[in-house]
Amino acid sequence: MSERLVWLFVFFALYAAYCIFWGVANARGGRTAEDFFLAERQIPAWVFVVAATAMSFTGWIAIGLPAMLLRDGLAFAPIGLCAIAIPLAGILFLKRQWMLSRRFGYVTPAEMFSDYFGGQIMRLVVLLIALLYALPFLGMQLSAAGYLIQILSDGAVPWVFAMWLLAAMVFLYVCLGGMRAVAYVGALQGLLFATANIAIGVIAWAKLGGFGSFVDLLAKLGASKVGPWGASATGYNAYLQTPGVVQFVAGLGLEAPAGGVWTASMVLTYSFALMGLQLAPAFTIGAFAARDLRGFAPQQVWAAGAAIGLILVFFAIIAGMGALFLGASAPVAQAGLAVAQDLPLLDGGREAGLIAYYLKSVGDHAPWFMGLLAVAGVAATQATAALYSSATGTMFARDFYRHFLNPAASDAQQKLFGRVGLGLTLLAAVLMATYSSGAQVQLGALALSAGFQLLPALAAICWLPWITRRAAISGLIAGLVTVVFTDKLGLSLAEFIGVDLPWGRWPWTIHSAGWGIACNVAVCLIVSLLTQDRADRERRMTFHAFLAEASPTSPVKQFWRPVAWAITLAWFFFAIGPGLVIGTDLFGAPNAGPSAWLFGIPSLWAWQIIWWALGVLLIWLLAYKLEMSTPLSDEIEPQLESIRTHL
Amino acid sequence: MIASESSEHRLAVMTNWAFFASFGFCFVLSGFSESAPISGLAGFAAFVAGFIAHVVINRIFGVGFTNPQVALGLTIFIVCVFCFIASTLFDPSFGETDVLIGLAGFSAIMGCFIVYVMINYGIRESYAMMHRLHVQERRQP
Repeated sequence: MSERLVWLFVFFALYAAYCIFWGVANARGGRTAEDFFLAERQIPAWVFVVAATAMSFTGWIAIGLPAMLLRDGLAFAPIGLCAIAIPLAGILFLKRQWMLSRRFGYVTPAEMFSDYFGGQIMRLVVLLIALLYALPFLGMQLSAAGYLIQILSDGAVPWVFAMWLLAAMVFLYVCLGGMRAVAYVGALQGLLFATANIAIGVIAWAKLGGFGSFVDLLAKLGASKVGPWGASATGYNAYLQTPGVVQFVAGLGLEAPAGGVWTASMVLTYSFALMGLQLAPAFTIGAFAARDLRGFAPQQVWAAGAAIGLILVFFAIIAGMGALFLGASAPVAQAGLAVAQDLPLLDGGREAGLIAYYLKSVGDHAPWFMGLLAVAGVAATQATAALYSSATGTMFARDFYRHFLNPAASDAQQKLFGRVGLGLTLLAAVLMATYSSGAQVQLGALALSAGFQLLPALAAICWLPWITRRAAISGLIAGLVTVVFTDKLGLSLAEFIGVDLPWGRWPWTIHSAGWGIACNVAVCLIVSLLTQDRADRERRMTFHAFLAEASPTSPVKQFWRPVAWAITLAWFFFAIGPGLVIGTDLFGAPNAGPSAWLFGIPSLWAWQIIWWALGVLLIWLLAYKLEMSTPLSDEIEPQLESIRTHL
Repeated sequence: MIASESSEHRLAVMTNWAFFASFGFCFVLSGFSESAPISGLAGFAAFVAGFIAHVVINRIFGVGFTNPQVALGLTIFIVCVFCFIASTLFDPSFGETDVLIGLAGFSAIMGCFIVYVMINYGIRESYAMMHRLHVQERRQP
């Protein structure tokens, strides 16, 4: 057994012991169903800050973002500003959802939607979204961790075995300790996740010979035409520029956009999809479990926006772009731009292994670090897997078993069905990943976009009482259908039934989340106009009256509100929207080199850093100054009648 | 402390040490294996940071070190010191730089502990506490 494998096992065993310890420790305390599902609504603020950050950024960011940077270059880098966009979604909706949950005793978002809008359709649609989200997402996270272990063990541990083992571990500690174990283990997972991302950036930096050397290499790359898309009409290397605001092409599979897919409109709409991470039902359940609101603003502004943002705009870029010069790209190596051969060739779809190969390169002289960082990578994926499996189990027990089958279910029965739901979810996810990876990829592509479709319905509950039940439901269904038919799954379905759609995946370089939300909002607005009902609106107003009373609008908030929204729109426009194209050469042409670059780095990167800093300021303004995530001055008095009428 | 606070305190302490000790351990190993003072001292700095963070956590929760914590900490420290001494004496690849790293690192941890005791109990009380322990040990048959 190699030394690398020994250290991998040592750290993995320690980590597994830690997870199971918290599962067992919390199993003893958990007596009621609410304790199991929501940790008795007693997750401390500091745990929420760290755990929620790990859960919302997930292994995808840890493993996927550098890999995509390697494949698509700095054109993909603005996606790193999801560190601002994702918490922005939380700032808009989490505090108010938490308030409603405290007031009316909601355990799941489906209960909240059903209670607010009335009827059962909304409950079923939210359940469907939760499942659609959880199954492929869980499978993707766990299989990514499995591949990581397979690469690091030189194939001694097959990815399927590793994935099943990791799923069993998640099952064990979540099944024992419920949401409390999810959050408690999440605290360490969050710290490991953040530190591992920094460490990988530092490893790349060291291998590249320092920052100056990295910038020089970027300059040489910018002056060349090396890369899958060569140089654009402006003469800039496609790796270092945004390929336009939008390209009216039929879509992937039919017509490829020139210079790559990451146009400004794709960046914007893909960021929308990522915002779905904090709109997803699972994350809402995580927020319901928070003891108070003290952790919300620090999580959103400092942990997610500032800390993770810093990691994504600096360290992830060094790791991803740096890999081009470390032997991972054949064209770059052939052009003589590679400074080392520390990484194997990773083009042609093998980019996802980038982080594993970085760790493996460390393993030759410091196998203990490889073991620790590998466990950190696994922890990043498990944080999400634990939350999503736990939340799906909770919804299975509350919204399916308790609501439809056994309204008088005892605490023990609810917990049992919660555990059954958790087990079934994990089982289905790993089975899908093992035997049908194609279906998993197709469904996984939809997951984020589907989560984002809850935006109008959440806006109705938290802010806009004029959105009616029929409008929210029809908008949501229209949005989901549009998402399906502008992504892989719908295209495959159409092909299967013999319909030849005139568009491919993500037509006009607009992500399916963008198409979906456009349809969703349009339908929602039109149906709301047509279906206004005074009695129903008065009923909904009781929720909004409570929100207004519990979180009143102070004169300071009134002053800042229009200013803040104007700044928010400006941020979306320039940071991840059409204004992004200005960033390609505003601070120096990508092919001009460091002497002509105003900040000594490629213009697009500098643009991203500036908008990241402004983004932190923006979310600080919203979360703290506008009090959208700050604690309430008074305690919320529970009033459980509302929910009981619908159960 | 009520039960939930006790559980939270335990979580904070365990998370703290799981994080700092794992990275500290790796850096110390790298420092010794490559005779790299920066890595080695970074590792010991991580242990010192873990200790300081533990003290801060205790202060936040209004508790001190428990007897099992003190016993575990001292045991680990003594075992590590013995390993270091054994490596110095018997491992021919253990060079002068490694010895310096170890001496500096273990001294820093001990210094940290002494400073903590002095700040927490005062110089006179710390001395009296040690003196009492010493007297008790002598009286025991």
